[in-house]
Parts: sequence; structure tokens; C-alpha cells
Amino acid sequence: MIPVFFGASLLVFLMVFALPGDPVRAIGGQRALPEATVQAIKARYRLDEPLVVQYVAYMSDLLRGDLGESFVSRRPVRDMFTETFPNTARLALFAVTIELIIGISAGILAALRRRGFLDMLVLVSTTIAIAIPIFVIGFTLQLLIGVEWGILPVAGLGDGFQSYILPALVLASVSLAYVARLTRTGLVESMNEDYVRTAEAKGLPRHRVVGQHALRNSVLPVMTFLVIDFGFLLAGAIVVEGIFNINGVGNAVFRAISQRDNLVIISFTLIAVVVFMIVSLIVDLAHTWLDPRLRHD
Amino acid sequence: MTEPVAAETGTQEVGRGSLSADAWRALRRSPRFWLAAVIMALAMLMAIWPQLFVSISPATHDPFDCSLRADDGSFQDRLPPSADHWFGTDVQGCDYYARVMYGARASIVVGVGATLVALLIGLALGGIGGYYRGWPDAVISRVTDLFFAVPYVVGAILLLTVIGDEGRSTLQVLLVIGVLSWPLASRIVRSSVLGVTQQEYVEAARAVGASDARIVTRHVLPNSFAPVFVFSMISIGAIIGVEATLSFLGVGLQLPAISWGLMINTAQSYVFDSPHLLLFPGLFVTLTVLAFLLLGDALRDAFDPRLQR
Repeated sequence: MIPVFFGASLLVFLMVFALPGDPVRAIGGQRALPEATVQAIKARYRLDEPLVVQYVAYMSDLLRGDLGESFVSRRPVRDMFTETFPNTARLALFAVTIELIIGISAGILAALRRRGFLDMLVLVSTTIAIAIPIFVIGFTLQLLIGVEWGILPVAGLGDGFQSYILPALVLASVSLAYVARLTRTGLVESMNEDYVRTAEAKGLPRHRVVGQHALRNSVLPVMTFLVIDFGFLLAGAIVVEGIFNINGVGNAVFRAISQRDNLVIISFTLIAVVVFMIVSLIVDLAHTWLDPRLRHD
Repeated sequence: MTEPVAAETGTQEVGRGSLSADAWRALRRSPRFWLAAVIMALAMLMAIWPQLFVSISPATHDPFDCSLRADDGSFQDRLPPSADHWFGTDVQGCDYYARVMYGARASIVVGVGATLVALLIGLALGGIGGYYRGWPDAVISRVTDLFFAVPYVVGAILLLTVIGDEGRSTLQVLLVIGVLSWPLASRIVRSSVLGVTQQEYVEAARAVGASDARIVTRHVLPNSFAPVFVFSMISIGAIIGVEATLSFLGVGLQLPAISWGLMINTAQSYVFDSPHLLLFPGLFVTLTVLAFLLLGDALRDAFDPRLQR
């Protein structure tokens, strides 16, 4: 894990700094800066040092909890992060909750009535949900629910809990479809397993057979999916926070990239890398907890 | 496949034909497959020959022939759909139907091209890892993990923004998406090659002294083809969606290129007044992505006999 983190940090660092584009020009905007100012800026952000020195200095700051300073707003990156993170975290948690509750229930219903009406409905609607780009879903729901019918707030987070519903629903839409399909396939497969037949033969009621025995194994692919889902959530956050005008991490990263605010990009991205690795670790641990067969290996 | 080394010509056809023949038999009965195939054929035709689709429209046949005012002085921009302009007109008064038809090319070129780039890298790295195992596999797998950990869309926006200083071409967008997509391709190739190399027939081939080159070309590649092909179809669909998203965010293709994502990018400012600007390109992206996903699904089911119970 630690080598992957250092490797990924080097990769991100190189992507941001080694590619063409001058951060000093990004700070100066359209004006031509006097040579002395350029030198001062370069010295302040260590831009005049070789890349290796910059990387080592950045990493040693990072390990001491200093995320650097924004070139554009001159504010500590850490403050920018603590401002935006709670909004995105609430949005993402809400979205994952929707995904799991609706997705798993839809998957179970479809699997238990295989080839029935509900199954077809779930298959068709999930395929369509995966195919529609998230911004089309976003604008459509915003237009219908927010503007035309006025049921939920159109944008921003000013209305408390209510204002999270629409963006979270949009953010959850694609992954929800995947969760439903994975649950369905997993459950269909495990309903054919010997241990399920044994449970049925013992005379256990249907809900115990499904809930205790079959479902336990069929949620394993769903758990694995949550790691991939993290990537979707981040990508989705950039789009959804843009559409619904939410001051979150996705919006901040997108703005930082367009302004060449290098340290903001690197620090935010590395935090995403760390969260991704933690999610993977938790999922691995959950696997062994859910599937007793893995415990004895 | 029961008689491995009979007459050189006959058995190879029969042996290789049986799996794909079974798959084809399953596919022919699948309405999903036909739906996907028809939409895909239309989308491909639209990408290669948009003139064909535009020629039946009563409006101008040139997507760049735009005018804000008609001869009688009335404004021509953002007209709703009508008999003259089937899909309405856009912000510059261009016929939206013509633009949507011409928009197919960029999406499909990027989708297919980026998937090919990802597959090429994935086949090389994943193939080496899965076939030789040992230290090359360990090194390649760690590098794959490392690229996996960097968020895909952030990487794409970053690279495209940097390139974008002097304008982006379709080829550049294609390369960036392809280069970022290889880790998944590599993992899929690796696991399917790994699965094949552990089969008895590969061991048998090795025991009778077949060379690596022969084993790879005659056994490993044909037998790991199905999952890789299914992945490619789904990947093309997903990448068309990614291209649209990136163009929507303003870091994908750039004007004067015509692409569905770019149209939606322009549409977002007018979405409340002129929803047709969002509706038509959105619908076409969705249908195209849907066709590739459905085809991938149908192929996966057809190639995997376990699911046909």
C-alpha cells in the first residue's frame, strides 16, 4: 500500500509539473509580470528548484500534514479542503446509501422472480441508466423536478437536507444500476448452490434461506464494486457539483485544474488516492468477514 | 475438441468453430442482440456517411451552413423542432439535425480508437503478466495498481487541459482516454490468459514440446478472445460516454469540431429555455452507448454457457 501511495504521488506530481504550462503565467493572468515578481513567485513556491527537490520538499511537508498553498488564492490547501470536503462527503454517503438500499432490493426482487415482469423491468431500466450520461440525467431531473414541478430545490445547498436529495439521486443513478445487476446475478447463481438447497431441505422459511444463506454470498461482488464505485463517485461529483452548483471537492479540483493551481490539484488528488486505498482495504476485510471460506486460507 | 490432433485441416475448424457456433446460435435467438446490432449498424453508417442521413432532411445539408437571420429578417437561432428543421436549430442558427448526424463520427472514432489503444497496451502487458507469471507479472501488476489508484477522470481532465493550451484534436482526446484506460484492459487480459495457461491442453502442448509462440497463437489467444471481445464492446460504449462527459466539461473536443458532448456543453446554458438542444444529442449518445453495452451483454451471455441454464 505504501509503495503504491508513493508511486501514485510521483505519477501525479509528474503529470502536474513535468507537462508544459507555466504556473507563474497562471498566477499573473493576462498581465506580463516584471522579472523580479516572477523570480519572487518562483522562489516562494520553490518553482526554480529541480523537480526532484520540489517533490521531496512537497512530500516531507505532506507527511507533516501541510498540504501546501494555493497559487491562486494564496490560501492553505488544507483550509480549502476542509471547506469543501464535508459537502462532498455528505453527498457521496447519501448517494451510496441510496445505491445500496434501492440497488440491492431491486436486485433481490429481480432474482427471485427470474424472467418475470419485475426482472425484465429491472434489466431494462438498469441498462438504460448505465447508458445515459450522468449530465443528461442531471439536467433532466433538475429541469423536471426542480424547475417544472418545483418539488425539490434546483441548485445549491441552502435548503438543508432537501437540497441533497436531487444531486445524490443523480450521483447514485449509474452505480445503483450496477448494484442491482450484480445483486441479481449473484443471487441467481447462489440460489443454485448446494448450501442453499440444504437450507431449503432443512425446512427453513424462504426469507431465511434468501436473507441468511444466499444473499450473504451474492453481496460479495457488490462489495468489490464499491471500490470501482469510488472512482465513479469522484467523476460524478465533478459533474454533479457543477450542475447543482455545490461547493465540493469535485468542483474545487476542476477549478484548480483550469487555473493551473498545481498544489491544490496534487493534494486533492492524493487525498482521493488515499481514500481509494482505504476503501479497497475495508472491502478486502469485509470480504473475509462475509465469506467464511476465505478465512481459512 | 475431443480429438486434438487429427487431420490438420478439418479438426481445427471444427474444434474452434464449436464454441463460436454455439455462441452464434444463442445470439441469433436473442432480441437484445438484434436490437443492439441494428442501432450499432445505424450509428456506424452515420459515422462513415452522415451525408446519407442529412440528404433526406428538408433543411440545409451542410452542418456549417448557419445563419442567425433568415432572408426575411426573422431570427433563426434556437428554433424548436419543426417540419423544416426536424431537430430545431442551435445557438448559431445551424440546422440541429445535420449537426447531430455529423456528431456521430467523433464519438465513435474516439470510442473505438481509445479502446484499441487500451487493448494494445493491455494485451502486451496483461498478456506477458498472465503468460510468464513470476517477476514480470509482479512488476506489471504493481504498475497497474499504481495507475489504478490515480482517479481516471481527474487524470483525463488534467492531461487534456495541459494539451488544450494550443487546441485539442480528436486524435489527442482519443490517445489520452486510451492511455488512461489500459489498466482495466490489462487486468482483464491477464486474468483470462492466466486462466487459459492453467488448462490441461496448454500443459499438454507444452509437454509435446510446442514453442511459446505456438502455444500463444494457437491456444492462449483464441481461448482468451471471448472475454476480451466482450470487454471491448462494453469499453467502446463506456468511452463514448466518457468523451461526451469530458466535452461537456469543456476539456474534450473543441469547436469547430462537431460532437454530441460539445453540443450538450453548449446546451447547458439554454437548458431551461431550449431543452431540445440537450434532448437530441443526449438521446443519440444514450442510444449509441446502449447498443454497445447491450451487444457486450448479449455476447457475454452467449459465450458463457453457465448463464444459459
